[in-house]
Amino acid sequence: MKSSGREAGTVVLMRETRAAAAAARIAGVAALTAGCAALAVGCGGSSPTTDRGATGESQPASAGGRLVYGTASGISQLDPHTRSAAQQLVVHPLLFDGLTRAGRNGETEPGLAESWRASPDQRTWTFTLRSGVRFHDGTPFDSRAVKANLERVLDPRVPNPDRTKIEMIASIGTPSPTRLVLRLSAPNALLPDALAASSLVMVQPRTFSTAAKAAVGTGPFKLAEMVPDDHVTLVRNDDYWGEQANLDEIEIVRSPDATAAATAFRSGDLDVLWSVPPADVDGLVAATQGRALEPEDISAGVYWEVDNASPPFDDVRARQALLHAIDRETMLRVAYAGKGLVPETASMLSPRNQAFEASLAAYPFDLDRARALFAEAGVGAGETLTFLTPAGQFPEWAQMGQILQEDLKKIGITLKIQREEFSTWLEAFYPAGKRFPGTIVANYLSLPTTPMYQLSFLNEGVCECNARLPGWRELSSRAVATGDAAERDGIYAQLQEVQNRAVPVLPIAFTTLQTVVQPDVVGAWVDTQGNVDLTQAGFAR
Amino acid sequence: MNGLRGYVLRRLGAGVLLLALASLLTFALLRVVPGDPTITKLGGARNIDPAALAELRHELGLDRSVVAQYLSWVGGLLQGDLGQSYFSQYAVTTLIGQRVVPTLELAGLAFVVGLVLAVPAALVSATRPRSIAARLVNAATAALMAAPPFLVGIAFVVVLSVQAGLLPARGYVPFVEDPLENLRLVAMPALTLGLAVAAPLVVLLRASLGETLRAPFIRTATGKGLQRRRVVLGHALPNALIPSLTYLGVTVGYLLGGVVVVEYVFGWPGLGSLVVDAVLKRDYAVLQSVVLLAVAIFVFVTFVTDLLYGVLDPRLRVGEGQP
Repeated sequence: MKSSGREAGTVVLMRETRAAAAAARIAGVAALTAGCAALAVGCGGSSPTTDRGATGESQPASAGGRLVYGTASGISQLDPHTRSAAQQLVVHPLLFDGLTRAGRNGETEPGLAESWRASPDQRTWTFTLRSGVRFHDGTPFDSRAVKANLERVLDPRVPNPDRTKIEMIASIGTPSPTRLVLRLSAPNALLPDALAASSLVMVQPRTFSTAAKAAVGTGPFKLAEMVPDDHVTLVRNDDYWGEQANLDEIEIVRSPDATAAATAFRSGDLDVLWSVPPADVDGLVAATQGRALEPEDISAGVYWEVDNASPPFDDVRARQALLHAIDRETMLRVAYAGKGLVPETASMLSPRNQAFEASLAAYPFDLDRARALFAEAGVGAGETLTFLTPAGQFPEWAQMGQILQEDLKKIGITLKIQREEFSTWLEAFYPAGKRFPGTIVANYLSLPTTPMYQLSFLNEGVCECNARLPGWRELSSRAVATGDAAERDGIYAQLQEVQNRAVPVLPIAFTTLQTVVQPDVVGAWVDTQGNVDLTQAGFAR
Repeated sequence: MNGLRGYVLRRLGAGVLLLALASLLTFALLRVVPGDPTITKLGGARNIDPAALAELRHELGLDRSVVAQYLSWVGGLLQGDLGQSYFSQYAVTTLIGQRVVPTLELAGLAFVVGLVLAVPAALVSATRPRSIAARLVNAATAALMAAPPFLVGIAFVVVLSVQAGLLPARGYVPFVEDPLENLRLVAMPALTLGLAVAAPLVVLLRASLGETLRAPFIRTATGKGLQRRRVVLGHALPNALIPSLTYLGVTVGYLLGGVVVVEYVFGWPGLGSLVVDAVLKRDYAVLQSVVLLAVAIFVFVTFVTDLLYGVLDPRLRVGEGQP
């Protein structure tokens, strides 16, 4: 276990829900024990509220039923290729399938492609597609449909969030309806992983122009009705090519007010509630005898971004100083009720990720070091920095800012907390290339568990931090190109070394959005990014 | 009747002018506020190609001059085409259509609930100010004036849904689909809003009833031997209602446009939340049209209120009778 040595020292505050074997596999028993000591509530697998094995999976679901899923933010459109909001992610696996898909641990599984193989140089990929699959409108799914979909997402004018992962596709061949040949301009051993992205799923090509509201896919559910930003109603697709869904109907409703949503969950009007304020989770679970869904690994969390291209954070010492000034442990405890993992380094990867490099130097909370490094970078006492966070949502981010504010005050630096309404906040630093000197932007990143796709956030032109890391591009392309997993792990370690020295972004807490379910809900699970998968959900018999 | 017709025409003309002004102001204000719909729309996409941004701007018509954008919006408005949402691709008319029925239902019921609660409460409070009932009314009114509808709504849900399990906590079903469920769902939001409307109405009505009850014509009515009931209900109440009419007019506007909080608490798909979402996302197409719709409703309701004055109080009629 590559990371277990470090794990014991990491404060593991996340409640582990899997059986001991699974826990040992991903984190080490020592870490789990430490977590239980640190956080008395919710530890121990015997608690009915956390034992997913007993209530969530082994119990069979009865056929039928209508499940109501509550989300704080509304779904305004359904086109997966132009997805821009996380709340949309819950509908994608229900309505659409990709060629491949990510399993619970993030491992890549077959989807609409039954199998695939690469040429030895990783430049030609041949996919065998399932035959007999039909879109919801009855039209057949075949390699030509895949070609149309890939061409759409490869078009730079279509704002696809995952295009960079597949932009090396140079030509798309369709020798037969069930055969797809992708030729690449650069070797890519991770192509099947890339194609599992939820924004690269297959849409009936004739509906591209209306995909935002029509959503014709091949998934286990079909769209029945939608009122944008209010609700989306899905009904079971009885002609589904894969395992049939249990539920007759899923209704995704918006419950924008957290208190009202919690009350509706308590009354039983919501079966699943997503994006629950972390502090409310235990109370809701206790009140309903329900469960909190926990991911196997975490590949999402709070990251703060600074502009690496303008003062003072164009100086690496200023960024290192800032990381030393952040009391990440307290922040996770106060702002996220301890639900998550505290990063100790600057690595993008959570200590549970199999590629996490255990030998990285840590950045402990140390105000003296912070003061010294800040002084070297020319940020002396009396300086003012700005903390930018969205107003009206994510109050926990502002809390984190306040903790930093207090700590920076001790070393003579003033932190101005600026709350801006969402659109204004976003425009201040997004997209990459904007200058925001002296500003620390609070942000939340949700990234696939494949290490490369977490690290590739730091590629030039992607990260709003505007970082240019030495050797990053070469190392990244080598990691993508090699078919040798051990070699790739070695490169991941080097990439993390580079990142840990340069601190282009500041990982604050690895944590997913929280989900609670009623006691009779079975088969629902969350992925490493905290998104809920309802494809096999149902109600206990 | 010429005078009345002239008055109506004048008022309508002023209303149209007001709408034109409002359209200009809404439009201009939206463009001045920082934030950009294309950026919000791309929010999740990394490594944005400038071509994608340019394409999106072009698609949404945002690459044209502000004047051209305004003219095309107004031109569309006049033909009944309000454009489509930048985000959902739904026509704005469809989005409004989806939400106008639930909004009208909730507003209508809340208005009735407000009146039904406020009038008897104000009567009790004004005619027997020292009774226990009056004291209770006063205390409840003060509490409701102070408590935001959000709190009242949550309290209802906690008591009626979580504790008693009597009513569903949230949601909406069209009346035509399932009348009973629709009524069960609308009960709590209508009551919450009705109470919010009733409290200030009680205060207003109580004051004007108190005043009216001291007026000489009431003494006359009482003096000629009319029953107290008839004096209060037949003479005092209609006169006392007149000053409250303005408030009722404003209330209708509030109920149709400003009940976002109640919509949020009960998951009611109304126009209020449509507006708030549009503001947050800078969905200009939706926002400018819905705001204009709200202005139109307000102008219309004020107009009707003014006409009603004339019906209720002949002294306020325009252009009739010679001195």
